[in-house]
Amino acid sequence: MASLRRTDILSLIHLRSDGRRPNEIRHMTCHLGALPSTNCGSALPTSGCSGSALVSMGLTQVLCVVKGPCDVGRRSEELPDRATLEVIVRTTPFSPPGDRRVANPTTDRRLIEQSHLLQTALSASILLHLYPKSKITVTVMVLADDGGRLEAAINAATLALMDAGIPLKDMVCACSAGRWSAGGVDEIVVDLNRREIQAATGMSGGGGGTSDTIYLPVATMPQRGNVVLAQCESRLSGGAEAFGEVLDVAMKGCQMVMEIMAAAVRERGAGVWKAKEGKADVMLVE
Amino acid sequence: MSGELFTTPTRRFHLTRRGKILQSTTERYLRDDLGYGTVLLPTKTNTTIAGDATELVPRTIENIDMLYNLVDGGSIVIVDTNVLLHHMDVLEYVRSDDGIHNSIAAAVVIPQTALEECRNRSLVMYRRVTDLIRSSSTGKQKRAFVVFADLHHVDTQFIDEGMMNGEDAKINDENDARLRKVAEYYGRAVHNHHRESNPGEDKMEVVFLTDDAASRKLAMEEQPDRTLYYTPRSMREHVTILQKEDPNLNLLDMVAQFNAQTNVSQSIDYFPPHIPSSQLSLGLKTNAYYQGTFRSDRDTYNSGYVTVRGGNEERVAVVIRGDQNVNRAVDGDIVAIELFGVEKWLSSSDGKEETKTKETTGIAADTAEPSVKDMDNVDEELVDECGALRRPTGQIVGIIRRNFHKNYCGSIWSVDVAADDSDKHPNDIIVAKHETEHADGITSTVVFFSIDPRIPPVLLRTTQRERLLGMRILVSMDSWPSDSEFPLGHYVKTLGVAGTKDTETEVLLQEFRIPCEPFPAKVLACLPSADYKIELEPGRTDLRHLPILSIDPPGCKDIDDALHCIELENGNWQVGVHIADVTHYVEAGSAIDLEAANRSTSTYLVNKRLDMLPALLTTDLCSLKGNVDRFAFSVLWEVTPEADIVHVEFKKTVIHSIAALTYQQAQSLIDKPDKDCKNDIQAGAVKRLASLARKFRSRRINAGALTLASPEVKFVLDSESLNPTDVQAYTLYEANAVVEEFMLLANVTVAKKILRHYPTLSILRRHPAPNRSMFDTLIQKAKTQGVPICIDDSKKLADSLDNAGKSFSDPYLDQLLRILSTRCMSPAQYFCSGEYQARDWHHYGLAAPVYTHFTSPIRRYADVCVHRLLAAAIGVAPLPVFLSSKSYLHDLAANMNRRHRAAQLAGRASVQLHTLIFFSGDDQGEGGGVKEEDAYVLDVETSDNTEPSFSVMVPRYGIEGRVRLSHIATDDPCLVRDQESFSLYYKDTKSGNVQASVAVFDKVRVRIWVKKSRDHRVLILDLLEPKVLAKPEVVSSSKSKTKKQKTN
Repeated sequence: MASLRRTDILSLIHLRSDGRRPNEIRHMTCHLGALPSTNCGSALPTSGCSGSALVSMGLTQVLCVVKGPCDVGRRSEELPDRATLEVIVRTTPFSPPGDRRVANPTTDRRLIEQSHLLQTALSASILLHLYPKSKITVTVMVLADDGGRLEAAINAATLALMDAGIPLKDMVCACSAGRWSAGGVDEIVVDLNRREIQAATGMSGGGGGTSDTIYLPVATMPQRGNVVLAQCESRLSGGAEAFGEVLDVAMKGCQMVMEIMAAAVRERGAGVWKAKEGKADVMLVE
Repeated sequence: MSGELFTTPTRRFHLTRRGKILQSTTERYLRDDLGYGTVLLPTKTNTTIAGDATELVPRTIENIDMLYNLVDGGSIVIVDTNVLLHHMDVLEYVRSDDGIHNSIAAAVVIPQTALEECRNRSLVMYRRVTDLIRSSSTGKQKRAFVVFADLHHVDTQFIDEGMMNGEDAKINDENDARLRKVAEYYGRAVHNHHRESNPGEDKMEVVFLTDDAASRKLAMEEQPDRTLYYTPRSMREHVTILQKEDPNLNLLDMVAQFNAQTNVSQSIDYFPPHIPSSQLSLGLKTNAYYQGTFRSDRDTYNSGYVTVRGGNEERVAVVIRGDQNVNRAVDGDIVAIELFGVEKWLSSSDGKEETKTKETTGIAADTAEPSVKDMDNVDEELVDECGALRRPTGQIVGIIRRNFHKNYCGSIWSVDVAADDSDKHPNDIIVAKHETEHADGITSTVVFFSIDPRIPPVLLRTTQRERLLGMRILVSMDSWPSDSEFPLGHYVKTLGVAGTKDTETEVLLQEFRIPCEPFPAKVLACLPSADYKIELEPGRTDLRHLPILSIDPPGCKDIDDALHCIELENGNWQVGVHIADVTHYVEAGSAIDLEAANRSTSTYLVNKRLDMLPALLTTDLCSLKGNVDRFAFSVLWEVTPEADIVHVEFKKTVIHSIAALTYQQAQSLIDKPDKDCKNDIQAGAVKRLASLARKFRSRRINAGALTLASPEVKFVLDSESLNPTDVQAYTLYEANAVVEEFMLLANVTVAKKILRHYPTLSILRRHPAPNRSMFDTLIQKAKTQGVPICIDDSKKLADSLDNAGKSFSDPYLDQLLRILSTRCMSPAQYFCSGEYQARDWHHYGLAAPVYTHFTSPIRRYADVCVHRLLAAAIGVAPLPVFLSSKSYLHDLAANMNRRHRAAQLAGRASVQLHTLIFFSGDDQGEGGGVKEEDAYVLDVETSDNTEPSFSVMVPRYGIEGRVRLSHIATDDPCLVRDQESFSLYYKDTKSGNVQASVAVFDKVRVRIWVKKSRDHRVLILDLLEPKVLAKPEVVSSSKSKTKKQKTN
């Protein structure tokens, strides 16, 4: 019977379709300060950029720019005890292969939803109360999407905030995990790519019908062990236990992501130190 | 993370619907920790009552020493896609006794490229490959299947920049190159290791198996430094070498064949060539050709039909006739056809006659064959310009996908040299033409004939012709080149000696594809443990205080229903139907559930039963045996003694059956006089049930339910040999009808309930109203007896059958008429309620607007689904996710219908087999042998210039068959055929008076015996009375026999 077949997420020898093992995250690179910091009012298009980061997780690539803390501009948005955090998510016209084109980025529900999620995740970590009556703007540009753009966006935002020198409680690291169960066999994998997400959410019609599938993006503050975001849209039939297993795997993924991010921050720090010593130019850190 | 990851993006281009070109990019990670491939090793996870549950864990062969340990002196074979697709039988082969070369090689390397290509080409074969990889590691067999992920391996990954557009040829070339690279990788590793460590000894052999001569040639050229790292070989070459080393290895028979003649010069094309696939796809797009699945007619392989989609989205069956037009398609192939012009189409009359005659004698059928229209929901006829209905015809121009992955049962035809020319079977001629010895001296080509008449004869190349004669064997088809009259195939397996009961039972299981393997460990692991006890759990109602009893045939092991009936305080009665709670033990989506869904039904043969669920559930935990606590799913009604339903409840319960009665016992309780059973709980309950059942039944009959009959009989089997010793009719008591009535009531009630909650997701059962044309002949025949039959609706049909029954003097004729009308109807089928409109849900036979199966979850999967739906409807358990997927339900219903039909056919074939055994009298005179019996004429051959014959039904044995009057010449002037009254007259030559006649519904006397010829047996019916028409020698032999008996 055709429909009893499940999509093979793991091959016979427990390799995923792209050659990773279940517990391996995609190749991840981070680049802090990808754009030059400039003062407000400069003529450059990056005017007012106080920090930026370019993060790629596999083929998903996200650029994040942080502006501020600066003047709110509009009085109605001003908060008396803490800073306003504004998050904007945009996609480039060439970024989402196969995905529907975003007609109007200010009204697209998917983008608005993601910016809200991003805002919740970040405001758990940023010490917003240090900047009352001011505004921090985080702009995320999705350059390429091969699955997991929310996770990449969170990671990029954290790094850009650090680049901007905004105080955080902890780094917010995000990673996803997914689970397929059919015929008594469970498969849990970490950091899903587009093909795996489609299989998990049944978007491609690949046979998500018969098996229980979960796709769970998670954001944590790894050094504190807090989960700041966990989003699950699929029906959960395995109960809390099954959810816990997937969450554990995702949190381990976040830990791996954190190590890579921390290394990138240290490298950036070393670059800044060298610049201070007069040995290199900060702007040219590769 | 062990091992470094490198990433390479792979780019693919595809065209969108709007004509834009999209580039999609995926990542491919290259690893350096893959070593020399991966084997699956079993590890124990936990121990259950059913045995150790093991899980297969992949283990990488990290270094060359591990590879040497694994191979242990044998050779390594690297296979390509075509080997996986065509030579699985060779790969699967393991000789039972232990030697070193007991299979094709010590290690078989399956590169990922080949595996994935195999998956794209044929999912069936892919599954066989993966099963083989899994199973080979669990057994004690000394051979390993190594999966080598060459696409992700640093040393073998291979990117050809030239491959940018999706041309078939280029992809194939690239895949071949990849496979050669894998072979070279292994070869080089072995070569280097050999040179370093032990140069003196023999080198481990690395063989690259491919049937592609071009690839073999390239392999020889490509290998650098003029050192042969690996040897490219074709399968036949490789197996021939193995066979020379070990003559007991019977592998050569299993090698697939692709070329018919060894010498090309002689080749004659028997068939027009197939059109290549690139032109086919163009033709399909421009509607020059149509695509569809070829289905053979029931009794021949060289005609059939293809269902195609017409211009306006309606589906039409196109008739394909004749060898040239069928053009090498085999039943089940997906083909491309070209339609003939309208002038070549068949008018609706000339098609039907040819399919009418079915020659074999056997047990009588139950229902009509499901028509093409019902099975596939297609039209058979189209209206041409003149407005007349015509059946389109066409020819097959190409084959898109072969259906060669099945095994066929049959035997090799042995030519009877002694037979004279007149007696020659057509098969003899085929055999004489095609049996040849091959030049290599050990192989010869033989002709295989399948039991299934839809399959053409197959040419096999074998080394063991003498051993296979008289055996039932399994054969698989490989190819059908145009210069061969018949397809080429290879031998797979011997089932046993033809004609023995066990072999033939095996054959019929194979033939109807009944799953008969024991349940896998994964399924058994789902069963509860040995010390499991049934205890009341929250959410279940305790009904153990009620006097519940079950009524079943004697010896019934899988009791899935029980009943009770008590008086309530308000004077009403409470009736309960309790059905085994199978879903309590079979969790949705578990391994046991998937297995049951696949099997879909238990199959009952005369001498054995094949269960849908493991025996522990079937005969113990689920079976509602007497005097034990059992979980049940109960339907409880409150009814007035006048059988008006006041209230219905559905509950999960615990019950305690007080008695497991047989029908006979229950009947005796019903028949007990009232005054004797004042204090008898059982008798009181059964009597109340019986009185309710009578009322329900009369109500149902008034609504138009049909009372139908079946010609079925049952065998009395010898307790040890299980050979049939006698044949009996089923005795039907009133108690049978009582149980049936309540099961119908429960099914209808449940159908209504689930439909109310899940209007589009319910699994229901429908019985389509019969086709008028199917009834035509029956109405004409009945007219000769002065009986009108009206089939406008089921009520009128039921009434006319009742009236007819009263007018017949012979009581059996009433039953015969019912049997014949049952046969005019198509069988009922399962469906998902969302797929049909409400008016098509109707069950014609039961005159119910909705009907489902709820009452036998132990032996039918439909009932299991209905249980889940009902549980969700009453809110005790959530609906499993997949039961809310319509496409899944569609597949499920289709599978249930197919399996149900196969189980029925297999059951009937089993009866047929036992009938043959009974009449051939093999069982040392235990009641079998030649019999003389009364029979009723069903049909008379009345067309001119045919052999005078008529078909009869023998009610005593449930046999139906044709009686031939071969001693009367077809143009005998004394013979008169009357088409109007379905009769034959034999006139006296002189006076012209009618000496004897045979008309439809006449009672005649026949002799039943078995004619044995070579390795097959046929049931023969000879006429005894009327004597004038009977063969003189038959009558005389019958007389002498009776005389003998008297003298004895």
